[in-house]
Amino acid sequence: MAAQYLYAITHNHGPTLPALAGVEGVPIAAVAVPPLAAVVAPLTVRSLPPTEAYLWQHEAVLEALMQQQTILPVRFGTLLRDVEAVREVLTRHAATFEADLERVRGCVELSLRVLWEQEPPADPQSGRDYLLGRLAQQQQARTRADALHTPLAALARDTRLRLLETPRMLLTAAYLVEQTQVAHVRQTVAELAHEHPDLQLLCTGPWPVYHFVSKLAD
Amino acid sequence: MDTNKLIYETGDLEAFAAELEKLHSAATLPQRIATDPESVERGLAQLVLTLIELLRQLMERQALRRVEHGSLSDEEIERLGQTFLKLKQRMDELKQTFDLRDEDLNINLGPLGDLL
Amino acid sequence: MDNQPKTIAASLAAPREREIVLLDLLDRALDKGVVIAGDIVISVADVDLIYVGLKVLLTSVDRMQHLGEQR
Repeated sequence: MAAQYLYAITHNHGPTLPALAGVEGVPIAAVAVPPLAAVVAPLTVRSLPPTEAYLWQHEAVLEALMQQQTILPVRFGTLLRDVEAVREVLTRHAATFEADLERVRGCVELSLRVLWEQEPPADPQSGRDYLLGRLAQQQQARTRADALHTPLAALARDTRLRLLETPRMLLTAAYLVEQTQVAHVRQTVAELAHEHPDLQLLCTGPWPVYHFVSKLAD
Repeated sequence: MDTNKLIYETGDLEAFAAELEKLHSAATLPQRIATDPESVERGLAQLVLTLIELLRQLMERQALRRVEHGSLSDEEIERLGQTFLKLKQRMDELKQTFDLRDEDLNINLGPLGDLL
Repeated sequence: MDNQPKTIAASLAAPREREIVLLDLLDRALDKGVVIAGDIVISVADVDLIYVGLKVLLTSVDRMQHLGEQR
């Protein structure tokens, strides 16, 4: 009754799993509840700390799977009680998983982060100054972020974005992009960087579609 | 699959690293509460100030929406602005007292993205 | 265990690049993906649950206010 470390949810009718060792070198296996399957590995630890090595081991398994089939990545560190618990999850959330797999089919996730330089606001002389200053700042952030986001969103099937996660981080975005579009997105990011020389752009990927799985009902 | 995850990058990698580290420190707060009295005090201050900072951000955002929708009078704007300004100044003092940085109190709220 | 599947990270030449990509991964893998709840879960990664819970709660409050205004 070993605890099961959960990597991903996928279709049961996909290709056979690659022979792959994941976290701690333990080979991956499938637990099937047709038409779905979970990719798991038995682990004896009680929890998995998010160290660099473990994170990349988790990621490497997902990326190997992604080369073969559409997957839903599971949050890092998820350990279930036993195989029965894995089946329970697949059964209970079958409809959500199937819909999600369809929605993200053939897609990868690309990440964009944008930094901007902002002159510190002048010391506000009144309450009104302060509030209107904050508002102007927010509106400026929206306008600038929009100029980058709109052309990229046009290439994506879905997007997630956050503004001003930190005062310097103007935009944090995730794009759900068909694999064939990755080069196109890269090209567009390069053009945008050229058009906005005062902003700093960082685009990474392709990632598993971490941002595009549905929240599960309780 | 691409072995290099860096698809495109302009500018200063150091700056990106610094901002990303802030987000990460926010996500994994707080460290285990230490046993010596001073650390406990600081740990508690951090927890309480984080909460206050969150509420301050939420309220300020709500206020900004109201200002934007034009549903506040000039006098209300001034009064609200004064309140937030003072709260911010007081927070800055407290942060200094307990030797806390902005990123120590930062839980990123995410839904600002809704505003776009 | 030198042949662990760490090739992605290892192939990033400069340490700074490697760190940035790692932080980007951390931001997704710890915070996003399929999140399974319930007592069948033994553990999830070391994220402090008080803070995560707090974030969810306050985010909901913010959303509710937002919705209320649009009425």
